[in-house]
Amino acid sequence: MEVRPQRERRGQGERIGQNANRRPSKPLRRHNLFRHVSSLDRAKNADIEAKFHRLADQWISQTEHMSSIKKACMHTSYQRIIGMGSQVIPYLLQELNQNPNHWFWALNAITEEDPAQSEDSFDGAVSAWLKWGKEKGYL
Amino acid sequence: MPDDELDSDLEALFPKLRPGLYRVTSPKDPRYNCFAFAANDTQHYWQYMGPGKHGGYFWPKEINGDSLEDVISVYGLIGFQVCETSDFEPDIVKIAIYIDDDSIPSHVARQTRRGVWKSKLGRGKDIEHTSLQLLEGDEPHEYGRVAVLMKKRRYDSEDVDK
Repeated sequence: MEVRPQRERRGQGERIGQNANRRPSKPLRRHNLFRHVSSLDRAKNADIEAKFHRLADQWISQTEHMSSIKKACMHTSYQRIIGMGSQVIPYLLQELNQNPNHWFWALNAITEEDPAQSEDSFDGAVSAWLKWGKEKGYL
Repeated sequence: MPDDELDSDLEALFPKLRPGLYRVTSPKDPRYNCFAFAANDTQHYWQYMGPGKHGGYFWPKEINGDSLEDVISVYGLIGFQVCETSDFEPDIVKIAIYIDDDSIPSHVARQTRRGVWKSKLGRGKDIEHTSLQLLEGDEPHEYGRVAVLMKKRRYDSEDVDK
């Protein structure tokens, strides 16, 4: 079995996102690596945000005329948003802040918290969740 | 009828709504639903959420469910009694409870002082409609059929009827 020198193996590990069979003309410097990883994070976050807004728009348009919020929250798009888990919390809170709607169920399902428990009005629940979001550093 | 009192999207969702038979009377508002609106409340979303309290919703604590019988009991708490007809009677307010295929209450409409009906469509707009049948039907967004009518004395302070 061929054992490559330590320096060469380290160099291959730095070739993130490139074809492993091609050797780069120059190894990536550390700050370039961080920049590359950071741009990957941004792209991933943009994908999550786009998916959230696509599902949210579907949910609103397809359930807006339902009187029962319990029934509306069983809609596939709403359940998919819940299924996205904690990564979607910032977008739920931003949406609650900018275009208030019934995201309480989703936030409760994901976080297992209900800061609005003592509120019986929509506005009260929105305020309680936004306060919670600020305290937790999401907003 | 002014164009801003019509809504082609609503007409697509509720095929019996046609110009001359309805008009939009409010913008969309997620803060209340038809169950609240029928009770003259535009500040709460009336929704039974199951055992325990869920923030953001109102439901009388005396009623533990949202079946047709439960919804009749909810309106009974504020003075409504089951009645036979939707015919207009001066000084009487009537509400109509719709149910879906599973006999679950899907909507409530409220009769105005002029004898026409007003409905809050989910989290969307309020509309005035000339008959209860306009929102009945089995299309995906329609509310099924009217199952129960209720009535009580109308008070001057009840402003959703204007």
